[in-house]
Amino acid sequence: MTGTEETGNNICMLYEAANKTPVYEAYQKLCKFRGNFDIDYVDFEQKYYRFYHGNSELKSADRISSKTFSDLPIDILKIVINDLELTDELILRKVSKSLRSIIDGPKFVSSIIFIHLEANSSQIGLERNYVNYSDKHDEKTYEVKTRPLDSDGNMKINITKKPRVIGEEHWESMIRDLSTFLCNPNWKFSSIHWIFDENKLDYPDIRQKQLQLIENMLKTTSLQVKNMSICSKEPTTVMAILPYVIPVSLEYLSLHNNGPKLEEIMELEQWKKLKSAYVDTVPDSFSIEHFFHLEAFSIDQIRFSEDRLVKIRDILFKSTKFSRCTLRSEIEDQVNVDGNGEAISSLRELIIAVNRIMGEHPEYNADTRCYSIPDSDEHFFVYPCENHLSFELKIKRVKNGQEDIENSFEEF
Amino acid sequence: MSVENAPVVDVDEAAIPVEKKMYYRFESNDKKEFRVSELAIQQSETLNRLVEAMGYTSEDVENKPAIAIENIDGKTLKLVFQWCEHHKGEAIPVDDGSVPKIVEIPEFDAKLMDIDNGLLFKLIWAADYLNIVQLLNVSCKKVANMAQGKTPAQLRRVYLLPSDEEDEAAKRAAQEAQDPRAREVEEEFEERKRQGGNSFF
Repeated sequence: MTGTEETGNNICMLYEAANKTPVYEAYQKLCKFRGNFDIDYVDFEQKYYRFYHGNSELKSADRISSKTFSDLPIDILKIVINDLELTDELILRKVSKSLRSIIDGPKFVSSIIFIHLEANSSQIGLERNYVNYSDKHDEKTYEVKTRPLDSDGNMKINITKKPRVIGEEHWESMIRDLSTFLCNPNWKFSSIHWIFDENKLDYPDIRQKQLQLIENMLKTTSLQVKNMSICSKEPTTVMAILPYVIPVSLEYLSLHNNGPKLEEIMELEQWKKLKSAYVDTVPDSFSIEHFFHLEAFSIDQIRFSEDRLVKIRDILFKSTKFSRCTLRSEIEDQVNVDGNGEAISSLRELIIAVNRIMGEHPEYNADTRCYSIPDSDEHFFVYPCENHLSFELKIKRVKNGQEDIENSFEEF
Repeated sequence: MSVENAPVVDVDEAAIPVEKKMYYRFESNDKKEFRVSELAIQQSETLNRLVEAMGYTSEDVENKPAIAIENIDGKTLKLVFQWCEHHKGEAIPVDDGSVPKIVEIPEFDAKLMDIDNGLLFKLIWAADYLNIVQLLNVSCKKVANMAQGKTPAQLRRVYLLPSDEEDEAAKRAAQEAQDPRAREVEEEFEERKRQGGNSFF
């Protein structure tokens, strides 16, 4: 911009500020007058307010003595940084070393983080914002979608699309960016969701390369996360992630499509230290005892076999922490209960089967469906029911004398 | 005695002594004077303790010099006291340690903080110095909102932040000013590096 142009712009700005035209309106007027949007709005805003407050000197002494963001006490900087969206925080990290050292300090990241890998693109989701790394149509791009709130609390959508300069695969770029904050040993995350989409994934070895890169990233710094879910049909996925999570930090784990490796997963310290879990399906051969160290768990598809019900009955009293569980079985599925292999097709049949097996224990009362826990003021309430297209068996530890209401079984 | 059976007494409202509102005088570092109500002062933990400790009467307020606030200029102090007067009597939020804090910026505060960034940072600094919890919360929130969707270069301009290079240059200049030999030592170090030595020793 030439000196004459700048002077002209300043005169326009001064005029609008003197007339107290709202800043954005003044900016739009100037852009319209110039016929382009070449002027940076942030610069414009700063100059405008200097004029607005009666200061027409652009390099005034007042500016030298004024406070800047860096002059604020470190506690205040931390308050501001904690008020930022995670995306903005990660961008602020890039501004200077001193800010990076504050941002990288101990922190509990409450934002929910989504990590999504598809065939031609991958995404990092941070609350309302997304970064999408794409290799579609032979074009390597990354797209940042932010949804900031304006001053009235309304959500705007801003999309910025740029080419990726480094000639690497979309997932390589994504994992590299992910490592800048996921591998921060000072950060503990609230929720991380890994979604590995197998649709259109033509080359299975790519998945292995992705998992190898993720595993290498996590090997450098163990992950501190409270709640985590992993959705992948690739049996090795969970074993590439879960062993690198600090065991005590992880309280809740949700597994989807991970059946074949379940026995191996449950030998991990990370599984043994969990408080609650969701598993979408367990194989018939899988031993149900692996769940009863948990306070709460839910299984979306499990076959109610005689052997399984007997094991549940016998382990209930041995588990000191167990508080509640929900087991579901699709009605179409053949649900074996007795030794003759007869299928259950109605809720009544399920109740009879549960009462028969549980009733073999002296502490079980088939009328109330309660197990008294010896030397305790608690009992287990056993509740078989039907929900849409599933049978459900819910078990809950309850204080004696408390009402049992079906709805008291909270879902995960 | 039940309420119904209580004797009815005619009250002469004019006879009830009305407690006079107490105002304090403060002076900024550029000698601007402000009169602030006692209730508004309660929003600032620092000033509230100060006036309690001084134990001024209404006469003292008029006869003694205004209380000097050395670290804050008149422009900033005006905003601070406008905020305190508007929010006087409101409960002071207690920090429950939750992160991120849920802070909404009321319309009055938004208008008050419609100022240039330099003044806004001074306002934050003053709110911290005077320990005005809610003013600090809303002003920090305003600064955080300013970062939404900005690039690192834009953030540098919005927050008036130096780049790493500028930071280093400033540090070097300060070091040189303090110790003229520092530059010589640095040059010696650079020379040794050029000669292939990795260690200074």
